Amino acid sequence: MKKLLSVLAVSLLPLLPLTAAAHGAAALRFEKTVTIKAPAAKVWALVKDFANQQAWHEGVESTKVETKKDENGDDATYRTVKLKNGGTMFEKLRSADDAGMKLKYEYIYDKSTLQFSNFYPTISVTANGADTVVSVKGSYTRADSSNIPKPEQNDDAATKAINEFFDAGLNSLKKVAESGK
Amino acid sequence: MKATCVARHLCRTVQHATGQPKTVCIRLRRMWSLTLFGIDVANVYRHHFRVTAHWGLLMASLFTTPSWAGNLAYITNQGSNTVSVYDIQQRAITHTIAVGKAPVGVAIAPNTARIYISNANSQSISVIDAHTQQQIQEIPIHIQVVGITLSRDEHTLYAAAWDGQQVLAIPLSAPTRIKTIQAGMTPSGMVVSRDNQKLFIANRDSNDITVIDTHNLRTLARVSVGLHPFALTLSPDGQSLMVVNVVSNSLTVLNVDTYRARTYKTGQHPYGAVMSLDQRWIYVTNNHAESVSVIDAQSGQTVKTITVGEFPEGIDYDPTSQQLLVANWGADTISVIDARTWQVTQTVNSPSLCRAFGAFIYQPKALPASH
Repeated sequence: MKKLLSVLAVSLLPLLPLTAAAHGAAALRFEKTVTIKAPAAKVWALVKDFANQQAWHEGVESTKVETKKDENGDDATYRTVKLKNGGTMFEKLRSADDAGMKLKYEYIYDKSTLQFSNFYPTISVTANGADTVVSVKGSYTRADSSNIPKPEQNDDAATKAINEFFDAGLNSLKKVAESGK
Repeated sequence: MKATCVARHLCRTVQHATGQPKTVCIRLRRMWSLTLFGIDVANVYRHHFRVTAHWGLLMASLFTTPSWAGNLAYITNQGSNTVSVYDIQQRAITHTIAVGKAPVGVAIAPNTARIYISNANSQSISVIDAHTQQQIQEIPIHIQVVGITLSRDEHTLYAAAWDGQQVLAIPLSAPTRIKTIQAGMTPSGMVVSRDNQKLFIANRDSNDITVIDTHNLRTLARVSVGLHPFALTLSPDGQSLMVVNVVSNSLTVLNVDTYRARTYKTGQHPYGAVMSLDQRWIYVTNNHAESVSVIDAQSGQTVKTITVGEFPEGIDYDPTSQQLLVANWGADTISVIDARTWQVTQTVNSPSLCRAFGAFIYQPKALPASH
């Protein structure tokens, strides 16, 4: 009886509106590294160029940057990345640290098509002898933050989408950096 | 096993980085569990009676059962469905407790020695017995729960529905008789006022705080803060509510009666805050800057930035040892910071994606010294 009452009590909760801005309750962690046989300075020059992702990511068609006020009223740099498969990624530059060779940005799901959300990556470039280690690390959540997410917007879908993007990207970064150009 | 009783004075000189030295005495009273260790009851009674000659204290002491040395930090490991128990005096993890799926929030009931854990993915609350360090109950609540907090009498657990606009009030004596409270969008951090009259709810996606009357569960006020308020904490005197605004990179300090607010700058993406016992410093984890800001509570100036692990989230202050504990979600570590020197003194591994959202340090009953 108690159990019945509990089920009843919870099912009487009004249906809740979905909010696009809501984050998944349990964020996921993305981590990927690649070792490149090229000088770190060369790799960093490619990675930090926020307006030119097509120079190293084989899946990117074009990148357009703009400066506008962010939600806090501060000037910020945004980019619209057009993918060769027709997708779009809208991203905000957070910092490009030349001394530490770290690029931080934010993927803004509301104006993008890949099905993950709240993605705040840091791309770090670290010299390791003559080689360079590039790592991408960040938190992300599924696109549908509701209790029972749609299959194409659940945790697995988000993980798949983010992995596909960076598997291709880090492979081609390695190719480009290791080529003589 | 020998029956032993520990009743001692813990006196130490407190010296903040820029403060006046002060001597603080706390008498700690502890006894071994009678049932757990099968100790001769009469012996322990007599011994304790000699020490205290105080039946009230005697009875109270029967319910405290340390198998530990110091205060305990309960760290939720979202990625491994466990809670790490870190003994602050032993400086080591002494227990790892299996709980529900994706544990996030922590609420401590010092009087009943219970620890409540919110499990976001199993949509439940785990109840841990602090005597045995085991989960003794899992309460299904059918919401994606992140923030939880307790009423001061420890009778009611409040659980926020992350994907909705409600907070559940769960009577712990009858956990099926749940009442719902109207909150803003994406209610997250919560805390109950010292006098048990008000529940404060941070509404992450409506950028405000809902103040609830705990008697009738009605809204007393909605107070605007910065963008994406997430974690909440009270000052030790209970007069100020501190709210981290994740997107604004700021901290709102709100008077709990007048709701007058001051706003201080933090580092990038503040996720947690706690105030020192002397109320001079506010410590804020900067989730996207691998750091803790030390903010002067009077001036609002950041006086130091302490480097910790990646994606620091939960932070709490242990008044006994004056250590700060920080759960680093991205690094799978806990940073221990000495609040007197503002140096990281230890980095401890914690299984996976540790969060420790809420006040997570358990202080077994400490009695003020009689002199």
